[in-house]
Amino acid sequence: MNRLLLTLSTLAVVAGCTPNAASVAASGGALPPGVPVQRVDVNLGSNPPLAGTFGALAGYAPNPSSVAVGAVIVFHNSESFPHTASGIAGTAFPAASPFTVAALQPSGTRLSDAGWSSGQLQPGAASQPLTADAPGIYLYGCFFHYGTPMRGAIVVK
Amino acid sequence: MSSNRSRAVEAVLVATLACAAFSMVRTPASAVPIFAERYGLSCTTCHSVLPELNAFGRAFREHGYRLSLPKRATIPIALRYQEMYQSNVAPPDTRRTTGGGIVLGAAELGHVEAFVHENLGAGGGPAGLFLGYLSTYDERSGMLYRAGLFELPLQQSPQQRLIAATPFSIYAMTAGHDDLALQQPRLGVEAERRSGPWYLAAAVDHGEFHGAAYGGAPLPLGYTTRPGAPELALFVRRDIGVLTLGVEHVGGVRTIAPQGAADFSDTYRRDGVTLSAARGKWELWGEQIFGHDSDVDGHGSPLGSSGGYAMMLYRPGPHGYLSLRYDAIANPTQQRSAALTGALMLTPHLRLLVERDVPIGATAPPAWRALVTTAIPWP
Repeated sequence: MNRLLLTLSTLAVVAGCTPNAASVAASGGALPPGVPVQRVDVNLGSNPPLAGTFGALAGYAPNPSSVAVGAVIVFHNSESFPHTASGIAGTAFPAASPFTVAALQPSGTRLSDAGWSSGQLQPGAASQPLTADAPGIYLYGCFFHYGTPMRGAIVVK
Repeated sequence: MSSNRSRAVEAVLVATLACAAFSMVRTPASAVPIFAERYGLSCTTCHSVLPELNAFGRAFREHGYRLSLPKRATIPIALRYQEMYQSNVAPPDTRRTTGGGIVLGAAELGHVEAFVHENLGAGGGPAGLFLGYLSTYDERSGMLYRAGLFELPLQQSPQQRLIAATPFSIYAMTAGHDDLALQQPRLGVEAERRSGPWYLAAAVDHGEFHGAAYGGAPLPLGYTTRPGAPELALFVRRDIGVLTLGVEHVGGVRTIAPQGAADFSDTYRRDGVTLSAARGKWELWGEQIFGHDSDVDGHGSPLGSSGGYAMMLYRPGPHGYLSLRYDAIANPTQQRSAALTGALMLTPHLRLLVERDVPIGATAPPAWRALVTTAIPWP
């Protein structure tokens, strides 16, 4: 009986393994003291569409965000659905979703990095810190809900 | 929070009124709505712990809800109500209670059994038909046929007969823009057969229901999806001593229609292995699924996914259990959690379930969940 249970327990441990797993986005990590951190709330339900300079924006707050060069952005998913915050090249939102499946994995540490993304943020999860390293306007959106329109903008001065 | 509370109060009122109405029109009867009443059985015949089916309940279902016993007149509808408490929910709330009611209906139409599960809406979600199918059991061949909106015959009933407060991640997993999860009821036809140690099931479907067994607020996607070709599902299990081993396959084509861009098709498959064992008061359950999608973003990107669970369950008595479950998925970002669950029948018609859910390697905090579930008419 004990041998049987041991064998079954081993099999059970094998179940639930995830060979396709990508690393989880860092939760913010330790930042140097004095670095301003802009937390962006990721929640489509509590941040409805608002029309503005960049068109209709929804799902992120504050939106648009305005930060100084050197500040750090951290996206935090406060909703019970997965979301992403994924960078979009250019100065206007394209009509159709520009994202590939690469947006589901975290990448980049600076807003000027091409194709930066928080990766798939599970409910309650936070993204890796992204540094606003150069002045400009940075557009981003959600892989899953781009058409909603779950889109955002960060103005770095 | 306030809307959830008012909806819960509303549902309790509806349940109370319905209970009062039933008590006026019915003579004392058996505990379980519809099926038990039909055969004069107690509710615990099929549910050791409500609403999970025990071995007799599973066999009863596999035989088309028919027994060779004298039948009695029944009221063809029943109400199941569930109140859920959660701690550490998303801001600005710190805790939440959500009530949800479902109407169950069953009726004999000659050799055919009609079954309906209508959720009354919860958590801001609309009411809707969750399950609705016709089933018939052929005594000669031992085959059970179902047609309509039904759950896939997965190892765990993913939504309707929850044995835990948190869903099995692998059943809720989606892949990119393909939002069809295993837990969603399918619209199609299915055939099942149990022959000695073998259990075989096959389903062909061309539609599905998006939503939850007890309702729930849907989130607009900004794109729509629909079946691109009929989905085929196969399940094979075999008993070997105290063990039951199985393999399963679900595959089809999903058509995804994004806003501002052309439709695209995703050919997907989910292949899995299952294991279960029972000895004395102990049970062990495990399942591992590997998925592949050909195009999940409209840019031709393939995606591999995987996940599964392992669950140890201990039943100290006939009407309660303790379980420890480990869940993991990767689609491709990984999500892992452990859940410790205790469930107990407080009365023959009232189940209390308490669960501690602990995400692993994530920033989400651990959470408490508690469920109270009941069904009427009562005896």
